[in-house]
Parts: sequence; C-alpha cells; structure tokens
Amino acid sequence: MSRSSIVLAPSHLAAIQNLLAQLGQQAEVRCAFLGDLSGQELASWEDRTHLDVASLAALAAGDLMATMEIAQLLGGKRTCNLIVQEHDDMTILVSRVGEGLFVLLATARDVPLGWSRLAIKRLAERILAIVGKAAMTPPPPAVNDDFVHNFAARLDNIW
Amino acid sequence: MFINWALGEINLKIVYYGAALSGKTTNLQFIYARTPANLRGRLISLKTQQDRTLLFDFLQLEIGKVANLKPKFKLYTVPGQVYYAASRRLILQGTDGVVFVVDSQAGRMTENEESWYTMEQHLIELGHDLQTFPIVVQFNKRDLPHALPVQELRRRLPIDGRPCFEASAIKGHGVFDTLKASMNGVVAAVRRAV
Ligand SMILES: Nc1nc2c(ncn2[C@@H]2O[C@H](COP(=O)(O)OP(=O)(O)OP(=O)(O)O)[C@@H](O)[C@H]2O)c(=O)[nH]1
Ligand SMILES: [Mg+2]
Repeated sequence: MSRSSIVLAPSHLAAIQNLLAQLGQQAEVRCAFLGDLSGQELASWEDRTHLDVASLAALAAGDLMATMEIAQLLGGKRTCNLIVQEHDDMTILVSRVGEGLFVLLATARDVPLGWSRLAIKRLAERILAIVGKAAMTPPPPAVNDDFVHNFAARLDNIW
Repeated sequence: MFINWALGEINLKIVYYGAALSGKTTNLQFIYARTPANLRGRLISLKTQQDRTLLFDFLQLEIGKVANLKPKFKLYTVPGQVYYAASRRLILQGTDGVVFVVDSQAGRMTENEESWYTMEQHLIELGHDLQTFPIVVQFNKRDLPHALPVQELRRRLPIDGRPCFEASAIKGHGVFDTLKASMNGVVAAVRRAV
C-alpha cells in the first residue's frame, strides 16, 4: 500500500472532530478543517452546512503543495508551516500537521491574526498528538472478495 | 486512500495522466455530464484562459453503499503541458491508480512516450511498485483520421499486461469502460494490500 494511506480509528476521528468543534465555538470561526496532502478530507467543522468539503480538500492541498514547491524553487526547503491568506471578508490560515496532513482555519476578518495563528498552531499540535498514535493502529479488514465482486456489479448498474 | 471507519467511507484517488491535449479534461467533462447528480460533486477546473489545465481538474464520485462500505472516488487530471512538471508530481501524490490517456495521432507519439516515462519516474519516486500499481491505458481520439493503429501504439509504449481501451472522449466512447476498469483495478489493489 502506498505510504500516504491513512486510517484513523473512529475514536481518534471523534477526538479530532471535537477539537475542531471546540475551536469553532470560539471567536468568529467560519470553518476548521483537517485534510491530507493528497487532497482527502478527514474531518471538518463549519458554521454553515453544505460546505463542499471534497472540493475544499482538493484545492487546499493543491495550494499548500504549490506553495511548498515555490519555496523549493526559490532555494528553500519544502517546509511550509503556515500560509496566511487575507481576503476582504475573511482570513484563511493553512498549517501543516506533521508531514502529510494540514488544517485550514477560516475566521472573520476582524479576528486578530495573532489569535488565529496561535489557535491553529495549538490545533495542529493536538491533532498531531492524536494522529501520531492513530498511525500505529492496524486497519481492520475492509475489502474482501465479496466487496470486490459487488463493487464491480454496482458500477455496471450506474454506467 | 483514506478510510473513515466511523462513516464507513473508503476514499480513493485516481489521476488522469498523459501528454498535453490528449483529452484528460474531456474525459472528466463527459463523466460529469453523464453521472447522476446525486452521485457526483462539482467539477472543479483550475485552467488557463485558453482552457488548458493549469493545476488540475477535480471531480468526486460516489458509488453508493457496497457491502456496508461507501466507496468515494476523487478523480484528478494533471496539466499535460511540459512546463507544468512540478504540478504533475504534486497531483500524483497519494494516488491509488492512474488512467494514462494516449493521444492516438501519429504526430503525438514522442509526447506520449515522454509523458509515460516521466509518470513512471514520479510513481517510483513516490514509492510505488510499477508491477502492481493499477494503471489503465486509454487510446484516445480514435475518431481522428490520422490515428495510429492500436498495434503501433502498443509497440511504442511499455504497456503489456495493462488494461487498454480505445476511446473517443469527445463523443464519450470508451470513457466509462476506462473509468470502470480503473475503479475495479484500484479496488482490487486495495484488496491485495489489506
Ligand atoms: N477529435 C477528438 N478530439 C478530442 C478528443 N478528446 C479530446 N479532444 C479535443 O482535444 C483538445 C484537448 O482536450 P483536453 O481534454 O483539454 O486535453 P487535456 O489532456 O486536458 O490537455 P491539457 O490540460 O493541456 O493537458 C480539445 O479540443 C478536445 O475537444 C477525441 O476523442 N477526439
Ligand atoms: Mg486538461
């Protein structure tokens, strides 16, 4: 299996979800989001429903990866710890979590940047503490021959 | 791949790779157009003013429940133009399978070959074993008068033993055969890995 595959135990995911929700209760947080650099969404909290988290994950991961690449081309290392985006109506911060994950935090524009920076840094540390352990959990068997067979049949049904 | 056990979701990533203008974006556009709205997300295209892919196209597909699991597929295309090599490497990160789109036109063979070998290079760098990594090949633009015979395409690319499909993405021919083969290949590879 490729090195990037990630499996989180339900309890760990719930713990992360909790952290995101706690943060969401504070200040004017619009959205807090955990994804991985291959563009998968892992967990999210949002103040409105119907956020397109799949697209958000793909775009934020692409953005972060592109930023790291820019640094490398400029002679730096591929270690972008934090991206700060200042928009007219909101501030978006993207921080790496360990090697392969990132968190995104969007707040209203009047939330002080210092607060957001600290908040996202703490969030990243706490998530890393959880995910670090999670990576040790072996995945339970998921995909058996039955699944492979049913899956193929399902595809033929759709298209 | 990401498995969310709490929700019973299995998230898998497939990248459409290939030379510039080979028809990668067209594949995704057709898939988007012909998939029931409840099974697909929006089609995101980061492109230039000339409609060339700049960073990627992205489309999420859901399959519904299979044996109590919800497989979700994230489809990406890479930008094919030579100077976007860095972006291609980024997009391949974490992918579970590749669809390699070949431009069948006689004049495009060198570009197809170059694209194939840089793809192999990237996949090796990312730690994949090319023997077992699911790559599906699509011979696209079969509708064009200067399309090379399939035999010739097979001779020029090291694709022996890989699933291959003839297609005309612009008309939709072969698009879903390719997609389904890739999805089944990815699922089979996951099965072998766990
Ligand atoms: N005749 C014909 N034209 C095609 C076919 N598939 C794609 N095209 C055309 O080829 C051109 C390029 O298609 P795209 O899908 O944008 O190619 P791409 O591989 O995404 O190109 P890049 O983003 O630059 O890498 C467009 O004008 C398409 O309409 C096909 O099967 N037959
Ligand atoms: Mg394109």
